[in-house]
Amino acid sequence: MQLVKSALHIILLTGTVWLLFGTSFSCRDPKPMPPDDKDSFPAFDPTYIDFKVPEGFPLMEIPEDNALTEEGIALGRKLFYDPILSGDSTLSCAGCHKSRAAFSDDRRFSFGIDGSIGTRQAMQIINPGWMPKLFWDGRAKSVEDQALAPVENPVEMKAHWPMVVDRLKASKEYRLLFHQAFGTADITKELAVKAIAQFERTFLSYRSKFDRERLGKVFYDVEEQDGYDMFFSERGDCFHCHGGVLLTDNAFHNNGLDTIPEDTGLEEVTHSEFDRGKFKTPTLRNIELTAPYMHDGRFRTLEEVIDFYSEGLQPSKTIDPLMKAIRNRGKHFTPYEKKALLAFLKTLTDTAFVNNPALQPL
Amino acid sequence: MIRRNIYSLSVALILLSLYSCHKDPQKGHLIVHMTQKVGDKALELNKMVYQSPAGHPYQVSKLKYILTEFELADKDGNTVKYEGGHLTDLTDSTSMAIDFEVPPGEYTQFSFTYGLSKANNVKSYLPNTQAYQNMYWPKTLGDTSVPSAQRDPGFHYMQYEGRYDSLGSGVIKVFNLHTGPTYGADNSFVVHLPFSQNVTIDNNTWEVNLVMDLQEWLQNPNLFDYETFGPAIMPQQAAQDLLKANGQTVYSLDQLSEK
Repeated sequence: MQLVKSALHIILLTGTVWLLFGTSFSCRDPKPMPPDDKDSFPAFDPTYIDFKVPEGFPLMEIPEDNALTEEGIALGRKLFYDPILSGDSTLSCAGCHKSRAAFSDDRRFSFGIDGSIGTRQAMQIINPGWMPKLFWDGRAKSVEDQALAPVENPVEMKAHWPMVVDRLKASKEYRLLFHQAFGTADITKELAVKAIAQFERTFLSYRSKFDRERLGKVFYDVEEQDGYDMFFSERGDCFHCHGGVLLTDNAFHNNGLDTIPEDTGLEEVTHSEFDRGKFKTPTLRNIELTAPYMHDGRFRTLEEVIDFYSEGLQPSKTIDPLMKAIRNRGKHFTPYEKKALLAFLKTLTDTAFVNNPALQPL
Repeated sequence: MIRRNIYSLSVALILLSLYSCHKDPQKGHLIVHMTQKVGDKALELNKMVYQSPAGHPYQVSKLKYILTEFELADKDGNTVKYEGGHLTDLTDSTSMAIDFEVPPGEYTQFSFTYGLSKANNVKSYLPNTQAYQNMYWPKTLGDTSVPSAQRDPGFHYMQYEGRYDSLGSGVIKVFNLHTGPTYGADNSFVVHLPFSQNVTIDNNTWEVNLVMDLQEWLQNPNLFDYETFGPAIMPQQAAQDLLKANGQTVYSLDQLSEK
């Protein structure tokens, strides 16, 4: 009997010890890597951001392994504006994503470090944290994934990540910043793009007149309201692709630019002929600032874009069914309707976003 | 005394641990797989292989639909109700099944609302995700008797899109069967589907296919011809009426099985 009691005692105590220490350990965050011996850094103590979604916006899915911290965002900001990421250290991310153009490029095609010219317009960086796929053809499946690509693109930064990582490692300032952000000075490309992604997730545009109107703080004038009514009705029928508060469905459509598209868009990624000529719907937030327009920057002005949807649509095998006026080459807007639509589109401009000091270079 | 307290604490902690790790043994599961067909053919996107009852070859390019107010009824008429709804999107594999936790019982019928009833069709009824925001119904097509600032027209019920050969002669047109609350009308409807056999739930799992027959939207009892209403039916209550009537035969249950 005493033996049984003792055995029970041991089992219970073992279970208790396991519960008190084993289970709590499994829930604890992994310990950060210590910094390199040669550096003397303060203790890793990041400040986590309590991210609040702007009113009316959908939930933002932030990867569990890349929570926003003040230190991670600060590092991402420095990297974003640092030409150290390019082959000859002359071109930064900001070189093609300019704040005055709502973080897009005001040129039709961007120039790489050696004067190479790309074939697509640099997409704007506006609310990227809500984008499940990035680039015009959707080839990046996260903001982190997107940030990897331009560094090695031969017509963009034309560098190699190992070379860039070596440069970063050679900088005591970067070693400190990586340590502060991630608890390690062992810099990798994965950590670099995590930091850039953290910074880009703070590119939040939610303070336009459109936002103030939807929250009941201001009223549209007559022309803006008429444009709104067109946009969000079958007359303009813009909302199916550019709806919700993000003003993009983040999906892919053939909007009737070409009967036989030179750039096959999504097909390059999916290898499906049904995706030929489909491109990611860009957000219309700050559309006034992001000229030129479309994946190839073919339209210089918003007036040209409206004219295209009014009378310039081209039929094709993969034309999106949402291009309902394709049989008539467009909606054939009246001059006033075009003016009203333009007035509404200008209410999407968010100057607080493009002038946000936190998004400018340090 | 101390030893006794340690025993008590240990037993309590272990029991608490076991309890918290264990699933409720009193619940079973019903997994409903969202499946689609076109008449007697499987649904294949972007293939011009279907023939509408009005005589047009057609293809389907997109299909999304919201079902809400799921309900199970047992043989005595008692019901288990589930709040909220579900968006099925053919481009999202994670949306193609629903796992219902079900209390023990002998169930005979599965019911749901196609779309959202007028009372439930407000933005707050469903999760605020981009997928659901893409289903928002625009204010301009909501109940215009409500001031714009207070108007919340909720969601589309369905976005079913494709292309068709208008005369069988190669003239390709587009269709968009977008259903929803046209100018505030309640175009949702309730569907009751009896199980082919009683589903006895007792800490076990059953599976069933909830089949949407896309062809039925175009017939039975009304012939729905894409040509009649054109590609934009959201503001056309007459088109919504036809589809609402046809919708009664769109759904069925298939391949009920116990796992």
